[in-house]
Amino acid sequence: MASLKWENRISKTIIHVMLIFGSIIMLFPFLWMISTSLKGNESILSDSIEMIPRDQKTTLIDGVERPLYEVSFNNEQKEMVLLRSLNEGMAEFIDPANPDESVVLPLTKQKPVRPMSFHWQNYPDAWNAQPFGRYFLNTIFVASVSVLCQLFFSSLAAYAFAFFRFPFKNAIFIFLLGTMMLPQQALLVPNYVILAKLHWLDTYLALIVPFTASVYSVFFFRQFFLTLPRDLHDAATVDGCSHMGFYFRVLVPLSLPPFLTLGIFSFLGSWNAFIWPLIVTNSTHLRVLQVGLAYFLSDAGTEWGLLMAASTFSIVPLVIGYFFVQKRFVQSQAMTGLKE
Amino acid sequence: MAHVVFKNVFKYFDNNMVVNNFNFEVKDKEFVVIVGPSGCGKSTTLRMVAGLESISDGEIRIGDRVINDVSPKDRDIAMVFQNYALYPHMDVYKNMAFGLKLRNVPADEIARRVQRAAEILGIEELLQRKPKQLSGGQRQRVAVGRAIVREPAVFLFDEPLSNLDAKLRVQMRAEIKKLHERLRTTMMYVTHDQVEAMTMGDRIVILKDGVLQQAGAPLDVYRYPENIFVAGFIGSPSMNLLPVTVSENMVLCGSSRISVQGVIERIFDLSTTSGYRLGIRPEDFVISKSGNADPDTAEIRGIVELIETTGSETLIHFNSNGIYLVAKLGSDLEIPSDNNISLNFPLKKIHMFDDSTEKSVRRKL
Ligand SMILES: Nc1ncnc2c1ncn2[C@@H]1O[C@H](COP(=O)(O)OP(=O)(O)O)[C@@H](O)[C@H]1O
Ligand SMILES: [Mg+2]
Repeated sequence: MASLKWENRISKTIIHVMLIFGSIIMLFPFLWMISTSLKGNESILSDSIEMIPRDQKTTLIDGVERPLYEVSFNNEQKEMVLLRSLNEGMAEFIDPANPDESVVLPLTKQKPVRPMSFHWQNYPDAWNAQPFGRYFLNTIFVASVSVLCQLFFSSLAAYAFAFFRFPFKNAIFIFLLGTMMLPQQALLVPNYVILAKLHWLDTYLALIVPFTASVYSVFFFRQFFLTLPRDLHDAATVDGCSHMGFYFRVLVPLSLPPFLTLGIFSFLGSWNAFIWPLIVTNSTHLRVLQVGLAYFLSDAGTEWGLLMAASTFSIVPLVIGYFFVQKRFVQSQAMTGLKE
Repeated sequence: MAHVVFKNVFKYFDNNMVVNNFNFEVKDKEFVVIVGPSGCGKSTTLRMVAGLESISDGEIRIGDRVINDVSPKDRDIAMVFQNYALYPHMDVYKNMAFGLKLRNVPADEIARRVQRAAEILGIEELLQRKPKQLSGGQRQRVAVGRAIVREPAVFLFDEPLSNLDAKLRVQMRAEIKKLHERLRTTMMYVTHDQVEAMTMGDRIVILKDGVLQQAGAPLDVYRYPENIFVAGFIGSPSMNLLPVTVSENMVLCGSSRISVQGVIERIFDLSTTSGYRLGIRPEDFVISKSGNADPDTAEIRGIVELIETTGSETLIHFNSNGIYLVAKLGSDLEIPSDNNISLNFPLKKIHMFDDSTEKSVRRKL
C-alpha cells in the first residue's frame, strides 16, 4: 500500500514538473511581450536581458546625458558617472558631486545603475499611433460574423451528411475531406483571384465570406452528430418537425459542445488572421488588429515598445473571454469524445 | 375509421427488395403484430406507414386516404421506437408536449392531455425529470406517453420492449395490451419475439425476407401453420420437422415407422408418397403408457440424449433412429435408466408439409 502511494506521488510529481516546465515555455513569450511593452526604446535595444523593465539612470554633465554606475572605489560604494571608455577595458568615472576629480577603473567590474522603470506611456502612445478603436471593431465584427456563419453553414452541411440519404453522399464527403489536404498557402492566390473577379477586394465581404464554411467544422460536426441516435430524427419527424425544426429544436440544443469548441477555435483563428486580411484589404477603415500591429514594423525602424503594448492590449479581450468560457470549454473538450 | 390497408406494397433499397408485394388490411381498432426474424423487413413496413421510408411501389391507405405522398406529420400516426428516442435536453413533460406544441395545440389542452397520459402510465411524479434520470422502463413509458398525447388514429410500435430486461418486458407487454383495450385505437406492433406476438396480437403477420408468410389470429397460426417457416418460427421450442415418406397406414421416417392408421389421409391431401415433412410440436408429446393402443395416437421411440429442465417443464432431446427430436413434458418425469423412451402424440395434432413447396398439405375445411 505504502509503496503504491509513493509511486503515485512520484508520478504525480513528475507530471507536475513537466507541466510547469511546459507552461513556463508557453508563457515566456507572453511575459516577454508584456515586459517589452513597458520598456523604453533604449533598454529594449540594449544587450541586457531583463524581465523587469529598467532604465539606465543618467545625469547631466556639461550638457550631455551620461550613465551612472555603481562604483567600488577605496572600499566604498559610490554612484559615479561614466565619462568615457579607455583602452584595455578601462574607463574614466567622475563623482557628479565633485566633477573635477576623475578615477580610472575597469569598466566590467562596475555595475550600471538601472532602477525599475515602467513605461506605461507606451500604451496610450500605441493606442493613439493608429485608429485601434476602429481596428478592434473591425476584428470583432469580422470574427463574430464569420464564426456565426461558419457554425451555421458547417453544421447544416454536417446535418445533411449525418442524417439524410442522398446519392453520392460518401463520395462527396470524401472529396470534401480531400480538400483539407491542400495547404492554405496554395489557395491564397486562387482565392485572391476569385475575390478580384467578384470585385470584393477591399471590402468586408473579402474578410468574411471565405470563412463562412469550413471543411474541418463540417467533419467535426458530422462526427458528433453521428453519435446521436438516428431514432431521434425519426421521432421528431413523426412528432411533426420539419428538417429545420429538428435542426433548431433538437440538434443544436444537443450539440452545444461542438458548437462551443469550434466557435472558440475559429474565433481565435479569425482574431489572429494576418496574411489574408493583409492581402485582400488596403483601406485603413477595413484594417483589422493583426494588420494594424504590423504597421509598427517599418523600414525606418520598429517601435518595439509600442508594438508590444499594442499586441498586449489586442490580446486582452481573448484572455478575458477565455476566463468566462474556460469551464465550459474544458467540459466540452472532454465531452466531444463521449457518446452521451 | 382508421384501418390501414397495404396494397401491393414494395420497398427497394437500391436494388435490394426488402418488402415484396405486401398485401394486408389492419382493421379499425385492431392490434396487429408483425413478427419475423431480424432483417425480414418488419421495421421497413412500419416505417413506410409512418412516412419515414418512401413507398417504392403500391399504396398504403390509412382510413380512406392514400398516404403515399402525405408527409409524416399529417398522417395522424404516432410511433414508439426501440431506443425510446426521447429528446435528452427536454424533461418528460416537454418530451410529451413536443408534438402537440408543434401542432399549435393550446397550452391548457396540452397540459390536460399530458396529465391524462401520465396518469394512465403512472409517471405523474416523473414529469419534471430529464430522460437520463429515468430507468429503462420509465423511459419506455414516457415514449408511449408521447404517442398517447397525440391521440393518433394509428399507433406504431417498433420493438418497443427489446431493450428491457425479461421481467419488465413481460410487465410492459401486459400494460401495452391493456392500453389498447383502454384506448381502442388501431395499433401496429413490430417484434422479432414470437412470444410477444402470440400474447399481444389480435392478429399476427409473419414476414420472412419481405414476403408475408401467414396472417391470422395467434392460435390459428399456431394450430395451422401454412408453411414450414411459420411452423418452425411460431412456438418454442420449435416444431420437430421430419422428412418422411408415406405408405399405407404408415409414415416412414428414416428407419422409424409410425403407424398413422389412415388418419392423415383424412386431414391431409397426400397425392404422392414421398417428399413430405412431418411436423410435431414438442408440447404435443406425452410419455407412452403401457398397453396403450388408442387408434388416434401414434408412438415414437428414441434414446434420450439431453434433458433440460426449467422446473415447470422438461425438455427431452432424443434420437429416433438418427432423427433428432425435442419433446416438452411435465416436471416430474422418470427417464428409464437405459435412456430408451417411448412417446405418444395425437395424430390430429401432426402437421404435413410438401418438402419442395414448403407449403402445408392440410385439406381445406
Ligand atoms: N436505409 C437502408 N438502406 C439500405 N438497406 C436497408 C435500410 N434500412 C433497412 N435496410 C435493409 O432492409 C432489410 C430489412 O430491414 P428492417 O426492416 O430494418 O428489418 P427488421 O426490422 O425486420 O429487422 C435489412 O436487410 C436491412 O439491411
Ligand atoms: Mg427492426
